[in-house]
Amino acid sequence: MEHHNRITDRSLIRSKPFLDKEASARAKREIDAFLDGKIEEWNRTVPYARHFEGKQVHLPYYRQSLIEHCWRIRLMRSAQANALHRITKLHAEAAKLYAAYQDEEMLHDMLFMQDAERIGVSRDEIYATEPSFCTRLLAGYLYFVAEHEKPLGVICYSYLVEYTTQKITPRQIKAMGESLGKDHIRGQAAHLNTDLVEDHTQDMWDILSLLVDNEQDLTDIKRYLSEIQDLLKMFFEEMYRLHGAAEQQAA
Amino acid sequence: MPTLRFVNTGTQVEFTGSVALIEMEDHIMFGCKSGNCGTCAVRIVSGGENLSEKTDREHRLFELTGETDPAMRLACQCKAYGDAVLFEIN
Ligand code: FES
Ligand SMILES: [Fe+2]
Repeated sequence: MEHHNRITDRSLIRSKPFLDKEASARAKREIDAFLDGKIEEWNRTVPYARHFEGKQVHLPYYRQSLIEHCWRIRLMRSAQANALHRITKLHAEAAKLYAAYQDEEMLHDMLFMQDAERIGVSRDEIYATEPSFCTRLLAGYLYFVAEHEKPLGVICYSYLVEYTTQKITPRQIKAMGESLGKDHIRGQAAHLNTDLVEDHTQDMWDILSLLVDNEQDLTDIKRYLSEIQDLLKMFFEEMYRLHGAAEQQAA
Repeated sequence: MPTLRFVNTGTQVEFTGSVALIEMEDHIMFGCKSGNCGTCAVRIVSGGENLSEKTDREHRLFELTGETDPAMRLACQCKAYGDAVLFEIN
């Protein structure tokens, strides 16, 4: 019996990307318009969606969102590293870019933890708090997608996060600087620096673009973005049930 | 032995040869550890000449934040080869 190479790893072959430079820019514009619609829908349908942009921040809500944020970053870096492993076998250059992104983002839970400490939430308290069911579901979703569907679904999470950060967070940070005090949000302001200095949105698009192999992938990007938004929405609806609704009743 | 002095915490550390400031976790607060967030900013009071050259990441971040003081450094980006006195910002 003849011996064939048992490794069929595609990433070893440098192939021309399905999207050339122009097609990629066109696809980005379309996806971005889609995301703008999603942000608009978010603002319309998620209660408290623009809470952090307001004059006053409800502290228990802020507190829990910081704790959850630390956990989300921690759980996502593991789920993303899992996807990264798969991407190394699909497209080495996309993997290289995602690895660079992970290098920059890996310790970002620190920044949120520092801000949590600034409002009196200790590290131990964060460690002792179990992440919400929705956040655990979201992490599970990213493993599922990488395992059974397309690793690009995981990059969609990164793209969504970076895109919305670029669009919304500068406004939030400015408002929170006034409502909570600049000193209290230094970690989050620093986090925003990272995203902007690096243009993480473009970085994530470049990865997506390399991973798109056909029209179907472009359609699926939208489906992933929608599903991820739905999962995130579940968390914010629960947060509102816990904090916002009560506060509104009291008012 | 060369010494790093930290003005804010009033502590100092001796080292031999050279030391990466990223190891000074007990004295400086770090965030991203990759030159992007600015958490580890320190102002060099003296001994700047004993530190490694500013990296591209430092230039880039300080440009973004509008920091113009040439004595500002990101601790996660520099190495010390001799005495230096540092003021920890965070
Ligand atoms: S720790 Fe973020 S810039 Fe040094
Ligand atoms: Fe980012």
